[in-house]
Amino acid sequence: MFGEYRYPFHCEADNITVDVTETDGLYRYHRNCNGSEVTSYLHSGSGRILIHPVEPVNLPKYITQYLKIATPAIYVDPESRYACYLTFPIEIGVFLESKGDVEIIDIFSLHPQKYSLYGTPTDGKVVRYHESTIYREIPDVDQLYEGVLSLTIINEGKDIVTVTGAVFDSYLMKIFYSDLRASMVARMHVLSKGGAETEFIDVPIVGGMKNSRELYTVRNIKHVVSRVFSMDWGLEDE
Amino acid sequence: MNEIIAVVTGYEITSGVTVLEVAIFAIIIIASLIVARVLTQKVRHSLPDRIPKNDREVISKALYFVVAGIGVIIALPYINVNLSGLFVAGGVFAIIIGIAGQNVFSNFIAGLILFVERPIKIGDNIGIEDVLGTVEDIRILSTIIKTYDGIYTRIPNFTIFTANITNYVAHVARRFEYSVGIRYQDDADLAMSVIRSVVEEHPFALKNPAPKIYVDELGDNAVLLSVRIWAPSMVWWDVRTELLWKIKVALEESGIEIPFPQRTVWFPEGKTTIQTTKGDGTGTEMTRP
Repeated sequence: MFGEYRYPFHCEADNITVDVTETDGLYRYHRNCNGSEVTSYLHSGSGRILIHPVEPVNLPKYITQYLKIATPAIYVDPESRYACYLTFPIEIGVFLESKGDVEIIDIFSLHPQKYSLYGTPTDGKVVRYHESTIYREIPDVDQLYEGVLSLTIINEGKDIVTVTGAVFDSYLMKIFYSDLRASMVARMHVLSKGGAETEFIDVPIVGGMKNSRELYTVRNIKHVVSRVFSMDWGLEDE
Repeated sequence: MNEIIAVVTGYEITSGVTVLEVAIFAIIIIASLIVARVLTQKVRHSLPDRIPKNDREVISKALYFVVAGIGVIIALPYINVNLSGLFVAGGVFAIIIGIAGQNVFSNFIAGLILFVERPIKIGDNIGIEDVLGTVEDIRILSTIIKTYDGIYTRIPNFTIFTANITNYVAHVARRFEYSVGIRYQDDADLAMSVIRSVVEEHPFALKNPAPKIYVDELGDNAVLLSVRIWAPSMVWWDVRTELLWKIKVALEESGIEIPFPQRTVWFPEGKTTIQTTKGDGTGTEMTRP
């Protein structure tokens, strides 16, 4: 389903159908995802529709830019690296590209959403919450349901650290897609037993994957100043 | 040449005012206007966007006139204008203004303190005394609240400064609570399980802090379950309104009913006994022949 389409077109996978049909020069966009339907109209037939996996923090409505992936406890040795694969929820973005401009026109998902709080109610962060198993190999996932995140935990300290999740800033995400899966590559630099920094690397987990459109650039959000997210409220759930 | 300059600059335009003094007066006035304009532009650009445009203009203009006024006061003695009379008049004027404008001044100072302390921001849901609503604007002298029924309310900043402010969205998450009654014959464990499932299904009922559901009270007519849920402050009201009905529907689908207050009337043979039974089994009995 992920890809770029000249319209009119029709694509269908799992419980999702997306199509653009033409009637008397009027282009009608219609999407059905698990019974949830959206219809809108496109002005001209000169553009393209891009269907890409996007940063999974937009549904049911955008209230935070952060994603937390909770994992079983990982004990990381001092002065070592631990590489693993996790899953992340997929949200599918539909973009209209026309005459050099790109606009998001629809976002939907098969994955149920859940939110949580990282830190304290006073000054913590509301985060999109996702639970993942830990994999040593790239897992087979339903491409429209979950993506694969390659995470390297780097512990340069002298203590064994316990990690039960990682929090990421969606403004920093670099998502890639192929016919098989969506992917991201991230690192977690453990600073102490109580803190770490997470960042994304602008590479796919395997060759031949294509870049997804980034929502924050499409939406002209320009205040991305940091390249890392600081996990100041610890590496473990309370 | 020097003599010519000395003659020209020393020439008295009026009694005791030379050309040089007039030139100095003009230079000071022009310099003060330039400084005032530069300072005004700097301040106008450096004031944060959260200060409304009108207030930014007022502050900038006030600064402009203050700097220009200082320039005039410095320059006037060069053209033999006696300031002592002006100061006396200015003092009297200041007293009148001070008395008349003390409320304005106190609101202005309170407004400045609110800008620094920032207990509220535009868009926050707040309660001040008996006014509940959303902050529409924070101005130099007053704050504008749009109440939840859409009424425009202007509150002087001094009132806000001295009042108890409740900011419902200052923290990123907040808790709300339901009290759900079930019948005494219903299974409370099942009811709590059903409620937990409904809460966990809602995206914005936060995973952490976890919701708490427990038997809170054995009431007159029902076993009262307390349901405490944390939600993001931005959407807590939506969550609160959506969940309650879902909980009611889910409980009924599981055969658990939310009871009404009830009274049992019992008529034994030969006499009339009115027995009032509460939901917890206790009650009163009244017998008549």
